[in-house]
Amino acid sequence: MSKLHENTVNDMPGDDEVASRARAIFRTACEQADSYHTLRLGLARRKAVNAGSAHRALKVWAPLAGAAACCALVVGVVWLQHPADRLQPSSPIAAATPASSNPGGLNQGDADEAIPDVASNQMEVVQDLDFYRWLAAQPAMASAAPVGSRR
Amino acid sequence: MHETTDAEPIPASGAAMNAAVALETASAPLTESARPVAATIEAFLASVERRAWRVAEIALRDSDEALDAVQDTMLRLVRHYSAKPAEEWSPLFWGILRRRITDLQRRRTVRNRILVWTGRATNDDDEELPAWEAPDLGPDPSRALASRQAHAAMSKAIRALPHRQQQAFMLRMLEGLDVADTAKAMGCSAGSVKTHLSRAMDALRTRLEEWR
Repeated sequence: MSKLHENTVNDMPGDDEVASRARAIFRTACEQADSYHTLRLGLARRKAVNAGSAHRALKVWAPLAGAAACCALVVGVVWLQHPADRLQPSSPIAAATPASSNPGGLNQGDADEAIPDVASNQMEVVQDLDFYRWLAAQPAMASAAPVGSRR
Repeated sequence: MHETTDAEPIPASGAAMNAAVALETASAPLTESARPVAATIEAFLASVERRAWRVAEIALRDSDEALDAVQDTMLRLVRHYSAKPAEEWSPLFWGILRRRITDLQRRRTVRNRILVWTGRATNDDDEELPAWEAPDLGPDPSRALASRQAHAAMSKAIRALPHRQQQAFMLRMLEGLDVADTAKAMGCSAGSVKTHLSRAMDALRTRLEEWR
């Protein structure tokens, strides 16, 4: 390996004539870049910097948005897994059955036992809503029937 | 896609090119270590964008693809490495650009194979010059022409090198990175950089005789 060669590799590249002339040509070419490409390079730089700002904002907000989405998902799953809890206050039966139509004195424990069965066949309950309304009105008629039978 | 004029094998006039580069050669080379460290990522990109574009243009032989490569590199650097210390931006930037250039070259190779297979391949070197060229507003058109011819000759000589030798020469000699940063950008050891550079210089010393 010649001395010139060693200088090229180990020392500053300016020691070598070929390297220095290549650098000079390269630098001249960079300085003489046409306005079109210079403008596009500037636009690319600004776009990159703006995208970087947006990316940093996204990095801040993305975990928070992800946590909120997870919470919403958990709440939704819990809501769906306990339909009896949400049926209890607004059940079609509960809404359709008047308080006075419970003369038999059905206590709260009986109602809790009855509602899951209703909820499991919710569609049938809704379809037979008229029947259940009629059924709920039956105790009053049944109480009136013995009076009529005595006559 | 159009080719740059640098892809054309323009016979260069030695006297004109000597005049073109005489002043540049006389000035001190601005190596990476001599450059001030940029305070912001935007300042760093502004300082490096033209050189990056020229390096990509030499490697890709297409100014528009070179612009795309530089823009992608800027985006990736800003998104993923802007929080790094400013001293690390340079090797990171050149490493990203090197990988982007390699990706584009591989994609072009695959595309050319498909075009050859379908019988629609064209030889890039034989393509016509672009219909539009930027107006030359410089004070000395002959000197600018000589500079372009010298750059074309140098680009052609660099492109004739093997891929890794090209990278080593452009990063170490043209961009002025030191051996450690060049090795970081190339993803290899310092010894490999020296080997690639040594072989590149051997090849260029004979190929660049015409403009020495």
